[in-house]
Amino acid sequence: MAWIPIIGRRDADATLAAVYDKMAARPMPAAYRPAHGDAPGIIRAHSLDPVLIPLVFAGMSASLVQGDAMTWAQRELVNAATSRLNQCLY
Amino acid sequence: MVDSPTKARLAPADAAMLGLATSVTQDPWAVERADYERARAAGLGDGTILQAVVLSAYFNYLNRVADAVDIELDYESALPRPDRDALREPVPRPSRARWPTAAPFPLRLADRPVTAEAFERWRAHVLERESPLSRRDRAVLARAVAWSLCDGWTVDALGDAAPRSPREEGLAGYAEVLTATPWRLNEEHLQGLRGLGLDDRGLLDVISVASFQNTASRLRLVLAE
Repeated sequence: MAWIPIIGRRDADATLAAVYDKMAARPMPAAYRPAHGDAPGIIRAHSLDPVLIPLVFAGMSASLVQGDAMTWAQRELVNAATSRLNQCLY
Repeated sequence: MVDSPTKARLAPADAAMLGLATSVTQDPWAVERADYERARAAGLGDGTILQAVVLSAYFNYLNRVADAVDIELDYESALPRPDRDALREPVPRPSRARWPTAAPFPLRLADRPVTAEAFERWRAHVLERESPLSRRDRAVLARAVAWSLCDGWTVDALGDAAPRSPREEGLAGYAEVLTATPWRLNEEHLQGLRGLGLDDRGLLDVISVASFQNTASRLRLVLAE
């Protein structure tokens, strides 16, 4: 149970549901799509501010997979190292 | 591999990338030109170095939001969950007199124009609104994060945002925990913020501002303007 309210797809109003749809339509590896069918937890964590979600995920996040400077494995290495140093399980 | 990078058989370029993520995350105030030179010598190009720095800085945002909100994991993993040591101390910070004064890497966020534009739109939403948090509250949070990361440029730019009330001390204190020891975040911290009059949307605002500044200050400490 998260420490602030999280609005999932089922309870989303039209604005939030449209944002979730937009996020789900982004091209991404199948491994990143949660089996539970809802939006990923890190996106739902932002559900009280639907305007913020595309800025973080469609904007910043998507911009960082553009270009071929880093391989997918190298991006995962950086993400995993950062999370480990922060002692974050995410 | 991440726990024992010296024991892992990483290619030099990947070891260099791991080094960049470690510096950006753990002690960005200590990054030096020599770190850039080492990454170049390991075979990384400027575009790769820049992408790795920004990606790590960005993941510092995601990690903090995940832990501050306490999201559930989306995936089952066959790997054992790493233990979390709540007592782990952060890397000691240098005194103000020893904070960096020059950008160590000859790379700019603007060298990735799409990322720079995305970052600016994100920054404007997070720092330039008047609700739920006031702009003043946002500045107090951002300054506290910048102080915790030894980002003197941002501290100076937000010079009038030092906490002036118990409420602002509470905001700054939360930002400091989120920045220096995110592994200690717990629900009581948020209850404390509720006690300052913040509602649920205000709490998310606090979390997003403080976490955003964790990305922004790391970029400021490593990259040129």
